Parts: sequence; structure tokens; C-alpha cells
Amino acid sequence: MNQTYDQLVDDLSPKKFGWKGKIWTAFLVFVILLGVYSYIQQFREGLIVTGMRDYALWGVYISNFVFFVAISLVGSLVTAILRLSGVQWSTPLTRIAEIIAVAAIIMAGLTIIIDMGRPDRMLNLFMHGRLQSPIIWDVIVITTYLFISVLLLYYPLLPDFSILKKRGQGSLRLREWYGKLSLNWSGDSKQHKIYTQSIKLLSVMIIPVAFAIHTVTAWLFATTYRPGWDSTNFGPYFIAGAFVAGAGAVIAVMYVLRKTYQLENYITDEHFDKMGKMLVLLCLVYLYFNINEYLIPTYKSTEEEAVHLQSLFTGEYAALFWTAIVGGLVLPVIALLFPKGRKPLPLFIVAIAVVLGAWWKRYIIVIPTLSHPFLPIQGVPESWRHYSPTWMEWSITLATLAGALLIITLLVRFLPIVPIQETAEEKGLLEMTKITES
Amino acid sequence: MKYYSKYRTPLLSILLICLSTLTYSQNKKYKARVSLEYIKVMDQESYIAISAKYKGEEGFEQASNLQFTIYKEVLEDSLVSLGQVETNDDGKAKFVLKDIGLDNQTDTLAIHTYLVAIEDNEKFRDAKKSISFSEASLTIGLEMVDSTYQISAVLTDAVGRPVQGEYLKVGLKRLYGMLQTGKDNYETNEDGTILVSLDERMPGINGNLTYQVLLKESDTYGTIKAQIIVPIGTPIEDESSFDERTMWSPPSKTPFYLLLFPNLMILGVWIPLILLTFNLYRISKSKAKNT
Amino acid sequence: MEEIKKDNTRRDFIDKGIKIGKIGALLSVGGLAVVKIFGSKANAADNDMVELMSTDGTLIQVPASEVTQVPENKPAYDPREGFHNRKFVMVVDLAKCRNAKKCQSSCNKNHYITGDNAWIKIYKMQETEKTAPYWQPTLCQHCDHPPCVKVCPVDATFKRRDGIVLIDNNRCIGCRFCMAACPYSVRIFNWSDPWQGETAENTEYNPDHAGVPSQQGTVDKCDFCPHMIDKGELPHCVSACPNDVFSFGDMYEDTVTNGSGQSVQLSKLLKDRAGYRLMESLGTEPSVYYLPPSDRVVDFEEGVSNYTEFESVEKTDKP
Repeated sequence: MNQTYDQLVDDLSPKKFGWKGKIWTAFLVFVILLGVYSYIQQFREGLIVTGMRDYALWGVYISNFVFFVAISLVGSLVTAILRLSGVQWSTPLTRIAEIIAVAAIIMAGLTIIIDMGRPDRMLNLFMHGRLQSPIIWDVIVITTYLFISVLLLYYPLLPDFSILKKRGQGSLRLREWYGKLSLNWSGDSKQHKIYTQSIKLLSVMIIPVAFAIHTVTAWLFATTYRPGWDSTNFGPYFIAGAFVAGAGAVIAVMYVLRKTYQLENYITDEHFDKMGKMLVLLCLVYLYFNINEYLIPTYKSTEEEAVHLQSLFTGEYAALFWTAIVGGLVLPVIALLFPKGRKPLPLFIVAIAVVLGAWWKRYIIVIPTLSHPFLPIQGVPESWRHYSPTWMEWSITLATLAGALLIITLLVRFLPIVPIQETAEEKGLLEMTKITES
Repeated sequence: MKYYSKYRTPLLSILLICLSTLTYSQNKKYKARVSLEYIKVMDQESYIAISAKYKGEEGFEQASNLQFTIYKEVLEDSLVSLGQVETNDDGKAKFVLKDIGLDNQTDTLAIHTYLVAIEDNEKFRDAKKSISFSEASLTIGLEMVDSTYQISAVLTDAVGRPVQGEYLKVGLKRLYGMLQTGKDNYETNEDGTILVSLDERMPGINGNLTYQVLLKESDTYGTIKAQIIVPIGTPIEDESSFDERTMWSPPSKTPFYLLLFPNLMILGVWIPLILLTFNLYRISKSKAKNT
Repeated sequence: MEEIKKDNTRRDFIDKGIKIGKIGALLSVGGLAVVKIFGSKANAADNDMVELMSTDGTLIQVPASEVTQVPENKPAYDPREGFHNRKFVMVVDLAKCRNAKKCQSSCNKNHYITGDNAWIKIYKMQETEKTAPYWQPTLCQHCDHPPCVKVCPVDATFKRRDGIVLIDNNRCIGCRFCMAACPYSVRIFNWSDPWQGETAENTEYNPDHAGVPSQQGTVDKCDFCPHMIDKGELPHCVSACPNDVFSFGDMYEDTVTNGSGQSVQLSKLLKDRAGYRLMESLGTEPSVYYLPPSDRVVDFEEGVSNYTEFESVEKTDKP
């Protein structure tokens, strides 16, 4: 407990990769390169290389896109909402959350371009954009959210960069860069005032933007007539699901980083316990929305809804549906109600289950609806009635997931995972610094 | 004679080969089925409409790019060539007739005969088809009787005498052909006249309606069409949403609330964001106060 | 002895004559054949072969010398605005449809459709077990409140003044949102290069003649044939139908005309035959009216033999 300031800086400074880090990075790069190769094929031959056809017109690219948008909301949750409500324990987690958010939103943008039939005409979105189209709304909010998230990541880094310049472990050049990026941060009252006000404003602004981004993404589906998508519930339903997925992602990443960088003093069991409780709460909220989304249409069983629900409950997609709901929501809630379940390792496993369940849940949202159009599927090859992604589609999808992990990995390599300045402030170590340095 | 018997078979076979080659090349030509119609559009033009079909591999097909030579019969059995015309992709051709010429004013009506011929065509066998008709005139007018409008039409022959007993169709000229008004046919009375009352007021651009009367393929007179434009219709109103600001309009016609609120929201977020970026600059430029 | 000799010379003469005649005949017949074969070969050898789509929809190789480039009639109007003072509607008489599918093959041919999904499909419909089955030709409804146009992010699909909804294949980015939005499933996607042959691919593209040419990565659908309307002709499906199922015309004129050229008053037709529109409750306001399959002209069963559940575009040999 008798920790000095120096020790703290040492602990939290970014370190070079050991052999584990290098192999991990190499693996990610390999997966990405496979995906790039597949994409080149797709760009030349067209989307025929995927399993999508005229009825299953959207597939894993879109469900993956929704997943990335969902994960990106964690930045606003942990950094902004918890911060604004005066919660202190979440401080060590804010940087992890923002890194995940930035990585996810970048990959969301790339994933949607991958799904386009004519990405060479992307500029048309800006030259001929129609404000009446939900896709244009999505482009606007994603760009806005990316910008806000980058700012919210960068601002708290200013004091940390300044510290790393003076005391960091990297090469001279690296510390020079830290210095440049710290923007002459010296912690004086004028800078501090701008800093605190800006972060407060960003935290306030990011919340409505985060709500907007996932509501608009939900509206890509809710503005159509299709059963399974034609729901007034979709905006809040998606947001609730996003918080679940994001919380799960933060827990998973924080466990790995804690282990790899020996941050047990900063990310304690207490943090896991609290995140576990929060995850339970968020899962329960999401379960509530799921009940609304599935129970009430079942009660009415209008013709097209009945076909759709049957395919989810007992039909073609039953295994996926129940695994995602039970394995991704119900079991996690049960496990986390026990304090033992909220210990780091069990919580990590539960979080992985939650994130995987979240990915498949979005598959369940996007694909089954497209199998039941209003008019019967006739006059097209039989294989068009069922969608299964091709290995190229999987390769590209896995490459985007690897891309997100690579961005997180690279940012973790160069940025302090736990905010140095804020942690020092909280532990009351800063007074000592001033005394020793003056 | 012995030689002939010896060489009979080979001789005959050679002859057959030669004949078959000749008839084979002749058999390759199709037989065109030609139909003709004499059409006179009052106050415009008179022409012969040619339609040619043939039986191809998969049933009847239009004979396109088929050249016809048109002749007029003058003074019994003597033909004068008037020119040539070629069918289009749909197997149809139109040959405009000039100066049909009225015969001298006698009681007997002059009968004009025209002949169309396929001559020396690579693809089609030589063929001839003729059509005969007498000239007649059709006039169309609008009358008002007891506050209802009526279309009147009078059919007269080449010397001006009314023609009785021919059947006329009356209708409205529309984008694709004629929309029938009233009964299928109206028979001309002894004054060569028909009267059709217009029970319904039909729509037309600027209220203008083009009424047509048609004598269709009469044995004696061919086909005669006449039309009249009358401003008695209900004016057509453009009900399309093309000029309005709607959710399905192009960007130039975005609804106002969609221009206002989203842009306000975007500015409401981006102006602070730009200011926040500027704050970074301010931070980098602020000089530390000396403690 | 001399007489016999004389007889022999005469015989020899006739002999020779016949021999020469035989050879001559054979030579002339053979010669004609040879000239024919080699004559045409000589022409072909000089030129390249060009690939075209024949009148029955097969892709064939034809000497380039035989091909003349037919310039597409440039419409004298703005294809994005359309014809003035017109609103095009179609009426489909379900009582007359016997699944002949001539509408489909004519549309496929004239739009050079080479994919697996036709733009007009004849659905085998039956609402419920106890109600009548019927054939329903379904094409783009050219809705007045088009959900597809609402969601297009780049103004690639648009609604014209004359009611026709078209696609600008030069603008489309292939996001397929319009396909997700359409409740009638009438839009198709070019998942790969359409391979339509030189005629389509060498024609200058205009949105008012869809599919000439189609483009990889973009959406296509029925266009109500504005290129035919411009020539004063009916859309291909209307003229191709042997049973007069389709009628087409201008709603403002209150007149629709069928493939045989018979025109009727639209308002009377819809009233007398109880016309309706598909999925009216969705509020899309389609421009296609259907006449119910009552007092059928032919039995439903007559169309069953022609029904191909998994095919709507006949496969031909692709390059």
C-alpha cells in the first residue's frame, strides 16, 4: 500500500511487447492479411463470392457492423455516464473503454464499406447524399461519434503523455513523441481549467451522440416493413443490447491486460465485482427488452410475424437463438448473482460468453427476417432460400474483428492502460510529487 | 438404244442432282404472307399499309427489311411503277399515295387498284398482292343537342353523294389507340350520317379532347379516319408529388423539417467539437505561470 | 468390217459425249457447292467474330461484318423527370393468367437479363387452404409512396413526374437498402458481372432502358419500359402476353390498353371488376392494379405444367 509516485508511473507506463505480445500481433496481422486477400477477390468479382443473394441481401457483414456499433457504445457508458455520476472506481477502466470504443467505431466504418456493392462510388454519399435516408444519418452519427471518442481518448492522455515524456521507459524518439502529443502540458491552473471543462463537456455530449448512433443503426431495420424488423421497440432495444456487449468487452479486455501487465494493484477484484454487478443490471434491462420484443408479437401471432417467430423459437434458427439468449444473457445473469461468480476469472469467462452471445444475437436479428419476405420465394435457385456465409465472408469478417483487436493492441502498446495522472490524484500521491520536485 | 439403257440410271441421277440443287436453292426462299390496308387520314395523307409475315423456324415472324415495289393499275392491265418501300423491324411498311385523282364527274365511281410486289428478293419468293378501293370522304363535327354534346360524322363518296349502310366506330384518341365511345358500331343513315351522344365528360390535357371516327376496312372504301379536337373535356391536373418536398424526393427537394432539425443537431454537436479541438490548441499555447 | 467400224466410232463419240456430260454436270454441281462453301468462308476469314444475343435469347457468335451498330433512340426528355401530364398505371387481370410466362421471357430478352432472378415473376399464390389458387404476375409496383426511394442514400433510385420509378445504375453504390425496404421483393442485385453480350454492353446507358447494360454491384428492376413508351408502344410484357392479362396506360386519360390493342376506361374497369392493389395496408400506393381471379377464363391447373419453382430466367450458354 505504501506506494510511491515513481512506482506508480513505472507500473502504468506502456511497456515493450514480450514474445507473447509479438506472437499475438503477428497472429492478428496474419488473419488480417487473409481477409485482405479475400477482399481483393470480392472487389474484383463482386459480392457473388459471399453467400448473400437477392433474398438474403444482408448477411454477416451487416450483423458484424451492428456488433461493432454496439461495442463502441462502451466508451460513453464507462467514461461518460459513470464519470458524470461521480463514480470513482471506474477511473482505471476509462482508458480501456475509450480504446475499445475507438477501435470498434473505426472497424464499424470499414465493415460497412466492405458490404457495399460499389465501394468505388463511395463519394456519392457525400456528393448526392439524401437527408431522407437512414444510411446518411448513420454516416453522420458514426463520423461524429468517432470524432468525439477520439477527443475523449486524447484529452485525459495529455497529462499522461507529459509524465511519460519525463519519466517513461521508451526510447528517446518515443518520449519526444509523447512530448509533442502532450501539447506542452504542465498542469498549471489555466490549462487545468480548460482541461476539466472540456472533458466535462465531452462527457455530456457523448451520451446523446452514443444514443443517436445506435438508435440510427437500429432504424436501418425499423424503417422497413419486414416482420422481425418492423418494431417500435428497436431503438431502445439496440441501445440496451449495446451496453451489455460493451460491458462484456471491457471486462474481457481488462482481465487480459491486468494479467499481462500485472496491474492487480490498480484493477482490483473490487473492480471486477462492481463491473460484474453492472453487467447483471445491464443484462436484466436487455432481457426486459427481449421479452417485449418477442413475447408480445407471439401473443398476437399475425401471419408474417408468426412465421418469423416460429423459425426463431423452434425452426431453422432455434439453436442459435436459444444459445444467444440463454448462454449470452440468462446464464450470465444467474452466474453473476453470486459473489463467487464475480471474481476475475469466472467473470472473464462469463464476459466472453456475453460478447459471443452478443455477436450471434445480431446475426439472429439480421438474417432470419430476410428468409420470410411477404411474397413467397419462387423463381430462384433453391440455395437462395438459405443463407450460409462463404469462407471468404468469414475470412473478411474475422479480419475486421482482428483489425479491432489489432488497434486495441497497438494503442495498449503505446498508451498507458490505466490513466496515470488520474490514478495518482486519486491515491493522493500528487502532493508528494510537488513536494519532492520543488 | 442399248447405250441409253446403259447410261439411263447415271443420266437420270445427274439430272436429279441438278434439278434438286436448283429447287433446293429455290426452296430456301420463304413465302411471305402479305396483308394490305388502304388508309386515308382526312386532311392529312392517304397510304397503303403493308404488313408482311412468314413462317419461320419458331412460328410466324415479322418479315423485316423486305422490299416491295408498288404499282398502280391504269387502263386495265397496265401497271405504272410508283416506287419502292421497305418493311421495318416489325414487318410493316407505309407507302404514301399522292394524287389519287378523282375521275371525271360521272355517276360510276372510279375504282383504284394498287399492286405491291416482291421481286427478286434473296430471302423471299416473288409475290404479288393487290388492293382496290373507291375514294370517299369522312367529316366529323361536334353538335350540341339539349345541352348534351354529340359527335356527328358524314360519309360521302368521291362525287359527294352520301353513303348509307357503312359502319363507323367513334372514340377518343388516347396514348395507345382509341378509347371507344358508345356502341361498337354506328350505321350511316340515308344521309350518310351518324350521331353519337357523349354521356360522360372525359379528361384531356388542358380540357382538349381529340374525338375520332373510323371506317375500318370497308370493302369499297378501305379505311378512313377523321378526327376533331374539342375543348369539352375536364382539364387534367398533375397530381404527382414530383414538385413537392417529400421523403422520396431528391436532395434538392428535402422536406424543410428534415433540413432544419438534423442540421441544427449536427451544428449543435460539431460547433462545440470544433471549440473543443481549439481548446487543445489553447492548452498547447498557454504558458505555465511561474510558481 | 467398215460398217462395224463406223458404228464403233459413233458409239465411241456418244460414249465420250456422255462421259464429258457426266463429268461436266458433276463438276458444275460440285463447283457450285465449292463456290458456296469457300465463298462464305472467304468473307468470314477476313473479319473478327462478335458475340451477340439472338432473338431467342441465346448468345451466338456472328461475323463482325454482319453487325451494324444501331444507335439507341435518345429520348427527347429528361429521364429523371419523365413525361409531362402522364401518370402510368398497369392493370393485371388474374382471371386470365395461365402462367404462360411469355411476359417473363419477353422482359428477360429485351432487358438482356442473364442472372438468376427475373424482373417479373409469376407467383403461385394461395392465401389459405380453402381459398382459390391463382397465378400472380408480380413486377415493380412503381409506388406513389415508394419505400425504396425513401431509403436510397445517394439518389440512385428516383420517382419521376409520370409515376415511373427508375434506377440510375451509374450512381448506385450497392448498399441494397432499397431491396430491404421493398415489401414486394421486386428488386434484384447484380452480384457479379452480368455478361450480357456486345449489343447491351456497347449501348450508351440511359436509366430509361434498364439493363442496357446492367452493372456489377448495382440493383435492377422493372422499369415500365419508358423506352417503349417514348416510341408510342406498350411495355414488352403487355404486348407479349397471349392472354391479354396486362393493360397499360395513362391514369389521367382514364384509359388502359391491352396487348391486343383494345382500350378500356380504367375507372370503369376497376369498378366493374373490383380491382385492388397488393399490400394496400402498407401505404405504398402502388401503380399496379389487380383484377381478382373470379369467373376465371382458364383453370388454375392449366398453368401448373409450366411452373418452374426454382427458375425464372432460362439458362443459356454463358461465355
